[in-house]
Amino acid sequence: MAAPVDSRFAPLGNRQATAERITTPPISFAKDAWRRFQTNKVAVFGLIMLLILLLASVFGPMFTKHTYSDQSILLANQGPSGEYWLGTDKLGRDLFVRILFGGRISLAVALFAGLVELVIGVVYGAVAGLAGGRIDNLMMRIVDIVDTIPSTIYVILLAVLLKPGLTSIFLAIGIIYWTGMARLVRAQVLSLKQQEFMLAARTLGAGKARLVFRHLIPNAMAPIIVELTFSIPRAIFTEAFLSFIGLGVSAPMASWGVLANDGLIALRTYPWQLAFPSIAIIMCTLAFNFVGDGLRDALDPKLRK
Amino acid sequence: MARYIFTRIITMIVVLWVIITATFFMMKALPGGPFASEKKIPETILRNIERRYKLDRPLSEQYFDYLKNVVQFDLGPSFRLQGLTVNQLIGKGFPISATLGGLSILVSLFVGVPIGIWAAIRHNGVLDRTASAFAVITAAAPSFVIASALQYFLAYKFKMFKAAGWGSPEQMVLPTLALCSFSLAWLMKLTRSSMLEVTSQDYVRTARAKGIPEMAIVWRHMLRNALIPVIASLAPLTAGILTGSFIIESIFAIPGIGRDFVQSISNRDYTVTLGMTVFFGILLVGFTLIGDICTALVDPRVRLDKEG
Amino acid sequence: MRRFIAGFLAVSMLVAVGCSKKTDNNNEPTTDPGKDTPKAGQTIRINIGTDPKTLDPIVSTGVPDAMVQTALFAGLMMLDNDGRPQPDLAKEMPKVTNDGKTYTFTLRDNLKWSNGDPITAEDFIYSWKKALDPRVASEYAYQLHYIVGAKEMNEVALNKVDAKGEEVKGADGKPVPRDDKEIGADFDKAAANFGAKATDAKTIVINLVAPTPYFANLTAFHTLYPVHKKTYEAAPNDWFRKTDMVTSGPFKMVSWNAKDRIIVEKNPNYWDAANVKPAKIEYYLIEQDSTAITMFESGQLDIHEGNIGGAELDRLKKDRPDELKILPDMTVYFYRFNVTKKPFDDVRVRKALSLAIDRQLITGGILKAGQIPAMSLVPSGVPDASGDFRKNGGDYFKAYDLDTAKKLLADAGFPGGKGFPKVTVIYNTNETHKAIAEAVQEMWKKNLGIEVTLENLEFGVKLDRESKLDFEIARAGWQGDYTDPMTFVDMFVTNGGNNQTGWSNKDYDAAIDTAKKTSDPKVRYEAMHKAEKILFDEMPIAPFYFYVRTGLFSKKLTGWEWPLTGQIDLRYAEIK
Repeated sequence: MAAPVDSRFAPLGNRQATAERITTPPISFAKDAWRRFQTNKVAVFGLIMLLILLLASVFGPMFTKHTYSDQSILLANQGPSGEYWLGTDKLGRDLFVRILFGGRISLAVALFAGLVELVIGVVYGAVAGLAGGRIDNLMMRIVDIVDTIPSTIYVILLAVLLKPGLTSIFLAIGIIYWTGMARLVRAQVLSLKQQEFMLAARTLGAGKARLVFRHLIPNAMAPIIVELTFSIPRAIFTEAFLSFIGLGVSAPMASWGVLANDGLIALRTYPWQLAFPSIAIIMCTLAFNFVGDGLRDALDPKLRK
Repeated sequence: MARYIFTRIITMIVVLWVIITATFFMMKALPGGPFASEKKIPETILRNIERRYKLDRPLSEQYFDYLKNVVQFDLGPSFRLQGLTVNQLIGKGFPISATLGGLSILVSLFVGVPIGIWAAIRHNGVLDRTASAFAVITAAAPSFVIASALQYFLAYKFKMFKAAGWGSPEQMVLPTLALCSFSLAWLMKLTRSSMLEVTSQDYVRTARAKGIPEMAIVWRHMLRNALIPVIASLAPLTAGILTGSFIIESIFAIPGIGRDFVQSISNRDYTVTLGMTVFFGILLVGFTLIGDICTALVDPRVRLDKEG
Repeated sequence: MRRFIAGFLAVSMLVAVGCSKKTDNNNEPTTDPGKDTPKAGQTIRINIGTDPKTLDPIVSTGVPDAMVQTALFAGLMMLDNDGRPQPDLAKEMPKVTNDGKTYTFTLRDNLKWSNGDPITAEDFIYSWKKALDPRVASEYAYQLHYIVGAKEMNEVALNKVDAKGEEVKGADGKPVPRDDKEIGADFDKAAANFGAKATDAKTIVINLVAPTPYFANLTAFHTLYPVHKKTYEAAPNDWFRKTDMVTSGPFKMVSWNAKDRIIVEKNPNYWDAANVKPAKIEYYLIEQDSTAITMFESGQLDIHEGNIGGAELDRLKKDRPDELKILPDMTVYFYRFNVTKKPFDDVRVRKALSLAIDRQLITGGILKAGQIPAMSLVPSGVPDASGDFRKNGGDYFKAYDLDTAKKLLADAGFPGGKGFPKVTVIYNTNETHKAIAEAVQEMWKKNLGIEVTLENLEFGVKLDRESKLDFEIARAGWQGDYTDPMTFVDMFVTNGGNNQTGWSNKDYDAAIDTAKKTSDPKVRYEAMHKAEKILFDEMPIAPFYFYVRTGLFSKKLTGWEWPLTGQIDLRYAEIK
């Protein structure tokens, strides 16, 4: 029996078709992450700092008065002045342009090291953790072996076999750098893989690759990003160590790590020779750190607002 | 679990064997030898010396000789420090490095982790921001800078501590501070980020909704999960610090094994390098195993032996 | 809770390991910074930089080894501050007869080892035989080859030889080692002809192959120190590591903690103990210069002997001019040219490169420690037949002669540097080598228009490449073993082990040979001067400067001696 219809009410019509419509415009995960990143002022500041460092290293030395190798021995060890903005080193070279130039090497090394950790370390750890049992055992024991054999030995061997330069540094870093990340990710994955979302994904028929890349890694982002941030300064000093062994760039080219090393002995007498390269390294690390934190906040699916 | 541990121990032996073999042959592949010096030794004398140390035997013979000795825990004599055996070097130096390293880890753990937790609880608050920035700066400054600065200011300028040496508790302060700086910052950041991860989990939300006080939630629920990555990195961190930080030991003139180890490579002191590598290997694999067991204890969902 | 237990388990395990084996060395610095101990019983604290490799004087070679040996051991003679031999265990200067071929030494009365045993002439013969034993493999055994029969003893074959004297090769192509007993038998046979004999408990008679005017100096060299037979035989490989080691010098061993310090105390059985002032010496083994300097400045050290350079040197020159000591060193810094590789086979190229180095700028602008530019090989302080060898010899070319350099380069076919191949300078990782190499790179670029690359190599790698002549230019340094020009000029004979340039010159070889064989000191030194001149007519090496020794000596410390040979002698040192 039809109910009496009050004239104040009008039928709405079939709403099923439109009931599920989402009123906000569709936005991809990446765009959403970027949007959230942008709202994080500190992270944006970090990004800008990074860009400045990058541009300054790449283009800066082209515009300075002195080159990174011009020596004026009689003007050695001077403090900052109008002529030499950050002072001179023990051969009378302009520290400012040397730091700019050094940035090219240090940033390249840092970025490469980060890449190695990300590409090799993360995937290796995730695969090991997911596989579990004997495969996990085998893979992690390989990690143990790589970690135990003194890296100095293979670095020296590399130095003997290859010509010194950026490629050999990359090779050396590629061999030793990914293990810390692998361990971290594996531990995280061991814990994650028993969680419900994994069960759900597996039930839905997700293959191993999809499980690793779409589910495990994004949920392990937190320690991954922390590790990446810390690997920046480590990479810079590893490069300095490699130069020590003879695998790095040849003098007079110098990276921030090498400059800091050179400046160490002058800690008490000409402290700026140590201070300025260290500040460059710290700025770079801070910048990566801010960006990293921002990324973590932005990428974390659970923090979606 | 017991079976798993047993398998791990067997693999440990295999791993050690691989490490010894790889290190042995790589060391021998390096140009130069333990008796190379800027003043060339006359050929006949060099041969005499090599004969004394059996370095003139074929490589495979040297290798099997070494393996035989290692199994009996005889790590051989040092070539550079005549009259000392590697066992003696480790016996004297390791306790010192271990004390320094142990203190350093304890400080990192008991200072770094709580600060990390606190920073996460008060996310984006003043403590969080300062602690994070401080951690980053500490990590970015290389250990030799921190060590030199500490030595210069606290020991020399303000005469609060002795500049170098080892033996009295007072002399342990500066090296420990210098050594723990990186790992402290690292543990703090790691804890913080894990805690932040965990804080938005559903079960935490449920607990909060149930009205459980925040501290109880932290203690009973969040920590266990947040500490997984911490434990995972603790193992290699520990093994590494224990075998001596070469730089810190050099700067503070501490007679640990870090210096021996690093110098043995440039000295081509094969036995010392090999012996310390083996020792380090045992520590690392051992601690990794402990770390894995702890992970399993902490997170009951983790099944170490399950496939797939 | 379980998490906590697990974590705690792990951590407490390592603490337990660390704490349970407490260090057995609890040596703390014995003096408070600044507090003077009473005159009797002073302890002098000196840093010598690194652990001695060994303290066995028969085989030792290193500088830190020599430092400690000066305190622990004594020989027939010792060198005074001017490098002249003075009687130590010998009663007086030796009697020289038979045209300088026979030396007779008489020992003092009542000489005792540190454990009370008497020191006899036989102890010396025993020790010298040990030094010559090929199985002991002493690197300085050649210092004894002046004695009749010594060379033959030292060269007893260690591997099987056939009738022709050629080494027999085994199945693997390598020489076949002989049995120790066999070698021993041959050695004893050869030793029957040994020219050094103990004619009674206090007299040693030595017959030399040829007259050797500086033989008395040689007896002051550590390879010829006597060792205590019973101690040595009990533990030939590590007797010097034992705290009860028996010695003959002004001090005896108390303890040796590797990487920490070596402690020695006054030896009451030393013949001159009455004049030995310190009660104890502590040899610290701190490698890091900056740490040692900080310790010195905090009063934890009385002496720091080390390579003080760069920024620290500048500061110390200003802050502690009376404590910073800079003395000439018997060491020369140079670059080797590989004369077997083009373009260094052309003497004009080598000379051009050498003359284009502004040595004054390097020593005065970069090093700034009073190093002396070197235009020759042998440093000052080395005696000549009469006077100083360097002073008499003079310089062999101008310190910096750009015009000649440019001209020579053009003559060689590279005017203005055009067409000059890219060559590499190799050096081992070191702050100074790097700075100098970078400066030279610039100099050659600006002055001659040539480009060189710099290659910094790990120490072992660099040594290896140098010995294989796998380089174009290599940085090098050479320290004299004893105060005689021969230790320098000996280097560059054809195929000499330390030549490593591929350079060979018959006249040079002849001059060295003359110097080695003659008995007339005048002829000898003239031959060495001649050799030096030939060397720099051909310039297979480009010398840079003569080193200096640097050290910090507390201004309260007196009576210390630091002769050119490098060992700091503290037996008469006192803290005021």
